[in-house]
Amino acid sequence: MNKKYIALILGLIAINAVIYRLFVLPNVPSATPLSPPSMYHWFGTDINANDIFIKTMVAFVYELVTLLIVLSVIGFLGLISGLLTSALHIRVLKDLFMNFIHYIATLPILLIALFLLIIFGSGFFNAVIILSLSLIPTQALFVYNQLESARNEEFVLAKQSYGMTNTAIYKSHLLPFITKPYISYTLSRMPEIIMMSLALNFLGLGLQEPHPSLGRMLFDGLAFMFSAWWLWVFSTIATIFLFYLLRAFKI
Amino acid sequence: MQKPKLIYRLVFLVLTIFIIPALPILIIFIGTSSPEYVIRGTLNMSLTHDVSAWDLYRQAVINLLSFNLGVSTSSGMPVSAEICSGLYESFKTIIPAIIVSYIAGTIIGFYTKEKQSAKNSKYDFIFYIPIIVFSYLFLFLAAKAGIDFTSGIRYVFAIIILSVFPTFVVAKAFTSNYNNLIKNNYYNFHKSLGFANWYIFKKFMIRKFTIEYLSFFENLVIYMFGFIYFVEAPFAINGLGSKFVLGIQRFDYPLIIGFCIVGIIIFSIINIFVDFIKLRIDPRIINK
Repeated sequence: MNKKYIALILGLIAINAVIYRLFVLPNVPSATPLSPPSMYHWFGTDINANDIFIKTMVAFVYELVTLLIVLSVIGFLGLISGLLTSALHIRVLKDLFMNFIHYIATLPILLIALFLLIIFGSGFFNAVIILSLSLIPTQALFVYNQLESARNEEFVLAKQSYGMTNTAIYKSHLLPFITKPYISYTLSRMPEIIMMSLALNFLGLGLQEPHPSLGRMLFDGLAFMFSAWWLWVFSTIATIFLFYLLRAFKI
Repeated sequence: MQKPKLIYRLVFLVLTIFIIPALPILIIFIGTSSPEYVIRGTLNMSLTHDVSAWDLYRQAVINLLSFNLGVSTSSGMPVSAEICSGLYESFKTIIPAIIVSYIAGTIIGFYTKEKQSAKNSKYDFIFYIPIIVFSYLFLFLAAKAGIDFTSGIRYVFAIIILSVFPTFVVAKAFTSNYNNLIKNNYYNFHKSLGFANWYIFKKFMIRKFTIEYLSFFENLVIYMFGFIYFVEAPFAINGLGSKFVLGIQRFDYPLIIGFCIVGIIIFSIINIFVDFIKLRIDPRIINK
């Protein structure tokens, strides 16, 4: 699907949510817990009589915000750490650092994140920080590998023979050379980030009540799988839509 | 290059074992959490906060090395016993799921190898959807179809759901490797000599494919272990995932911390094991 159409759909959903919040919800007589989808509650209500449509919209936005923050942090810090590792001249230090990154990158990121979240306490910001920290090593590894292969390219050798300094080569040639693959790689991690965010929220270690999250809504829906289908069906659809959206923005 | 890498990994594994107990002690001194809570909850010790940091650390390392992870506060059983029983139950789904992924992925990859469109299909996103969605859909549809999902069939469902994304990964790897290989000179050379496709494959490519498959084996295992609770919680399989979800709901910190520590150590060992196999069979490393 064209990105324009997706932006249009998102815009329509946002306008819809605003209209719903401003004009429909205030006129609702009184919300009853676990009421099925109706004219007043398009997606029904949950056990606390909260409107699921609003909850889904807010949770969707929270997922996008998490994605945006984590992507920016890992994009920036991953690039810096990869660059620094590549620029190290002491072989032993470089080996040590690279092997450490390799080791961290092959560990189960989610388990590490869970471990740290249990120790440091759950919450949105803790989850975002720990999620970012656990994803940085793989980003750095990618930057390092790209830089190492780019350093053997002929244009770099030519610039070195002209007498250009390493800093200048990094700044003017190597960085622009890896920019596109790096952006592409960073964006390709979007499903992973969302999956981990969903997992943390599902376990109740991410966003806390009263803030809704798709993962927690899915977890809450499990107890009402057959008696109140609307508790999980709409959050499931929102999750699928989110992943479809991510695919559209993949470079 | 590979041998030092293996040594580094072993060193880092040992360091991890020594660093893990230091983290809870560190946060006592940073002051982000109550010492009592950390000592009793995450370190699982019956010591008071008057004990020095070194004594705490030493005791925690001794406990960890002797696999004494404390007692689960919700079930009253030792955490090590809980983890072992959970692992046994989880392996019933994870091991078949890995086998299914490799076999199904290879078959799918083989049949889609000619299609260039398979590289960037617009339906690829389906494979990235979290497995929780598939679990819910399977559970709902199974109940609607009158299938008793509390019986042994839940394992079949769990295996299918767990192997969706890994199958996709294997199929992709097979397709790209196959396409790369048939462009190789040695393939064309042997083909021109009149060797059959299967013979060339058997003689030259099986090792190459084994190495490629091994390269993401650990990632698949990590994926399955990492998201196992998305399958076990809905299907009520009493494995590690279910125990983990219950542990979080009941604030059973010894169990959660024990699961995380054992998980990290197990995966480190798996990584070292996979690296060791690669060291033995990869001709590129052997020649170096």
